[in-house]
Amino acid sequence: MASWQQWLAKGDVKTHQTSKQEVDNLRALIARDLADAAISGLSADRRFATAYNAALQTGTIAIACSGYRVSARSGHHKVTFEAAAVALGTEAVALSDYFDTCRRKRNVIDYMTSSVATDTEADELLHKVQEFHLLVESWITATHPTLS
Amino acid sequence: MRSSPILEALFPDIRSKILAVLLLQPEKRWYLTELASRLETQPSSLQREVEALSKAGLLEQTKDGRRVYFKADTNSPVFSDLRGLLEKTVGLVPILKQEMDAFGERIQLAFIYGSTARSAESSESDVDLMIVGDVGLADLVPSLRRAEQRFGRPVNPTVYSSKEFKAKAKNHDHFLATVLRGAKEFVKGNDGELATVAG
Repeated sequence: MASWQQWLAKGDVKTHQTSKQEVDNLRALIARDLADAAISGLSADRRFATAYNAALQTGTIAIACSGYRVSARSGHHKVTFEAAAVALGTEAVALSDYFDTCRRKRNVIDYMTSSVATDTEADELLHKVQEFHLLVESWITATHPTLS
Repeated sequence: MRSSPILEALFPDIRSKILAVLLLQPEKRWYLTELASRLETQPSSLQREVEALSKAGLLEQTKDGRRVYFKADTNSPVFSDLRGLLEKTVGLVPILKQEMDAFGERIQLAFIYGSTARSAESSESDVDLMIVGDVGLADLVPSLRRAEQRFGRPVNPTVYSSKEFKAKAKNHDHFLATVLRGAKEFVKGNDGELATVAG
């Protein structure tokens, strides 16, 4: 896994000073996506892609609180999950790997084929994003209390 | 044993099959009749190939009484490269089976579908893997990552609970129906078990 210094050198991340307002805006977006992803009337594809977006924005919060933003022109989502794991520590590595696998499925859903996600996968992703969100909020409270 | 267009382009059929069996299980010793049985052919059709492969240092021969045994020579300087090539092509099912077996009864069915199952894949084709059972994608990620590293290409999993699989099969879900009509290579289960799970 790369380091902040390596990502900075490649231009994949830039330093960034976040604010409580910015973090709260992302929190609202995550709350919206988590609520939408729980709507059983939607397709599994749409629920999966929506829950995935909540995971991405949750990772973005962790990166912003660490003083960075992802600026990669290609592989933006991949860098986001890797960088979130670096920000949060070993506890988040397994979730980051899982979300990266979901990233590939989401690319197929949004750009290539329909009916790719199963309800089993969409339900699991929603559950894992909720877990990730709780992890990030606990981490913010412990390490960046002014942003909690 | 699955065929691979990549191996077919590189080696005569019988040679690639011998290499696959011996190099993917390098610890096992085979005698000629046993190897012929495994490859569903006659010992006489293997004799010349195993001699040539032994002479090239890819196999080692040992005598035990009247029997001559063959096994992969793991000290060969090309052993790991050749094994890697075999893992990326004909080794898909054994490697996935090894990974999926760790989940025991939690996985009811697992099979490869798409271009790889049709043996029509290119060197960059993804491996599409369908899994049915009481297992989540998050549980599977470490196993799939290990398999991807050995294959040198991505594995795209699709995971169903048994209940969802049965319901979607019954309702002729477009994606699932397309997969079930196409070629499959079973990692766990068989056509009969698939019919049972699909209800």
